[in-house]
Amino acid sequence: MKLLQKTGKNYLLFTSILLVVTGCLIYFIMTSIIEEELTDNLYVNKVRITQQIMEGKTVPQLPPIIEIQELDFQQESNFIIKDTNIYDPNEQDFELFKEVTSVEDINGKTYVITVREILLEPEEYLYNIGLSLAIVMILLLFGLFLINKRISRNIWKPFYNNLEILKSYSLEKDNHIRLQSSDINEFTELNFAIEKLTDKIYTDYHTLKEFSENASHEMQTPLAIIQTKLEEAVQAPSLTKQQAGQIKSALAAVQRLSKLNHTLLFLTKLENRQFTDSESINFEDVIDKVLEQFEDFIQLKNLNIKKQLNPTIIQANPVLMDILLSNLISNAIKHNNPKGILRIELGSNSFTISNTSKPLTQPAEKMFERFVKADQSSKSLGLGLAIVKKICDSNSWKINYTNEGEWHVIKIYF
Amino acid sequence: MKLLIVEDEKQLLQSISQYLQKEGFVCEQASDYFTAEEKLTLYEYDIVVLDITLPDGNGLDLLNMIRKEYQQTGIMIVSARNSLDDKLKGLDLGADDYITKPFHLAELNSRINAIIRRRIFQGQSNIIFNEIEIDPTAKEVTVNNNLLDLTKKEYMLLLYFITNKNRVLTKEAIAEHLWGDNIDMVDNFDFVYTHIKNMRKKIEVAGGTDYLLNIYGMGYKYTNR
Repeated sequence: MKLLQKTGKNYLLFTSILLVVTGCLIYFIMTSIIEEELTDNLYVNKVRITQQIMEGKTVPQLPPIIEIQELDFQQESNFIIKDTNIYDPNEQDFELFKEVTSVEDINGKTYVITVREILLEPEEYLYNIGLSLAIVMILLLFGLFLINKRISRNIWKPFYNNLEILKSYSLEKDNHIRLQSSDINEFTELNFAIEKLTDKIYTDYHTLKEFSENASHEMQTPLAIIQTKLEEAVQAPSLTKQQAGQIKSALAAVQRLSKLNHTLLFLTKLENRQFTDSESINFEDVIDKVLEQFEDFIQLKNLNIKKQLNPTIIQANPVLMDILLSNLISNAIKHNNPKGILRIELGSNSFTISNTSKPLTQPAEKMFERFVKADQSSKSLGLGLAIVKKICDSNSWKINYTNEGEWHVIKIYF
Repeated sequence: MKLLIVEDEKQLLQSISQYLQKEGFVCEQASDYFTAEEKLTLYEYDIVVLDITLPDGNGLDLLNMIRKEYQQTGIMIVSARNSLDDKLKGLDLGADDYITKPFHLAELNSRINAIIRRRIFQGQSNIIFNEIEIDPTAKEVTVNNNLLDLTKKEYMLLLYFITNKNRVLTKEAIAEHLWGDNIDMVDNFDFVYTHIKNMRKKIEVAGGTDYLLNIYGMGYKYTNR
């Protein structure tokens, strides 16, 4: 729910309650004022009639408004005010009247003077008050709607624009974020805070990135020294078998570290989108080229290659394309059973590589995570498929992995 | 052959020089941009091994300078960066080859020899090791004048062994020479072993001596001693 709708809703709820309370107050105040006035009036009328009788004038009967009755017996003076329902022949209905009945001694005679005034029925008050308030309510709604529209168009516009700017902000592409200014203090403050924050994140991010890149690069030289020194040590003729074994392990570790370093650097570059230039690539050619590179390994494992390739041209970075296919094909060879099958299918919008292998030892969804290996003891880094996933992501291609029995299938949609 | 090795890391500079000196090269050393520039203005070298990340200057500028002054000099770039941009830039500017740290000295030696064959001998010089003769242009090997029928990998192996003779070459270095970046495919070294076995057999069948020694299960050494 939008902020304006939410506040608007609360305002409306409050206003409705207020209007109902106002209606009740108006009703009670009005009825009490009117009744008071009415009673006063009736009393004054009664006094006037009394005076008329006193002066010997005849007062006309006007039932049910004025009724005068001369009693032929004595009665004590009294005075009653009450509300009463009386049948009004004119209206042909019972009507509510306020009635003042007074027993008076005038010129030695006893009179019962009754004056009445018709009372407005409560429903009528309520109806009228309700109607007025409803009109006010409608006007209020309409006004609120117009004001909200205006507010969201003028005042909130920079906010929404800035929201769009923020959504599309990327640490890779943009450096300083430029937000639209507004004359609302809160928004200006927010903009200031966001700009400060993104600037800080930007510098931190780049410092960190630069640091890890430099660290990785700097690591290569010491690694080179270790490797060359170890290779020199191997040359010594007096080396024992045990010493040779130790050097061998050290050399293997150095190479592993260096390979890891290179691969992580490559992943960073991929994340930094440093491979942007793309060209038209004949997918089929790349597959054949990569298969040729791995010919030795395919032969040694006696793999059966089944190709079903339709000529397909795609737009991609040639280096990434090479790495993508190398990783996928080398995986399919490495994990294949001896004399297994490697199937490659290329359609106009999908590429599928399947291989026979042992069943999966870990969840399929972890397949594309970094440092996940089929066999923990293997020398591989467990980054191959993470790189494949990243390359697919950078091209907005969908990739999925399925495992059915001995078949492991990776499918890419582009 | 006169070589200039430009490398800011002294330890590495020393190792490279020692290795190449044993191979019969005359090696001069420069550990910074300034020294390298000075040496390059004074002498002409057959090969310059150039680290392009130097503390006091960009190795690519030196590369430019060499290309301008000495067209004959072969240039081997050594870089800590595995970046394709650097590689392409280096090769575009006229470097002959590019190797990434860390590298095997034997690999560096092999590549320098390849540059020398291409540039200086223009493929006219055959490589001879006792009864074995390699013609690098035709990629043909003869043993006692019998032409061997070697596969591409077997040829590469033999050339690598002879170029780095009398050295213990680790299986890793050999595998990397044969398969380059796809080295991580080599989970065990059966692959290397198969090729070596075939190469040995073919040489013996042609009447050649098997000069290859297995060293502590760690690697091989090609030697006639």
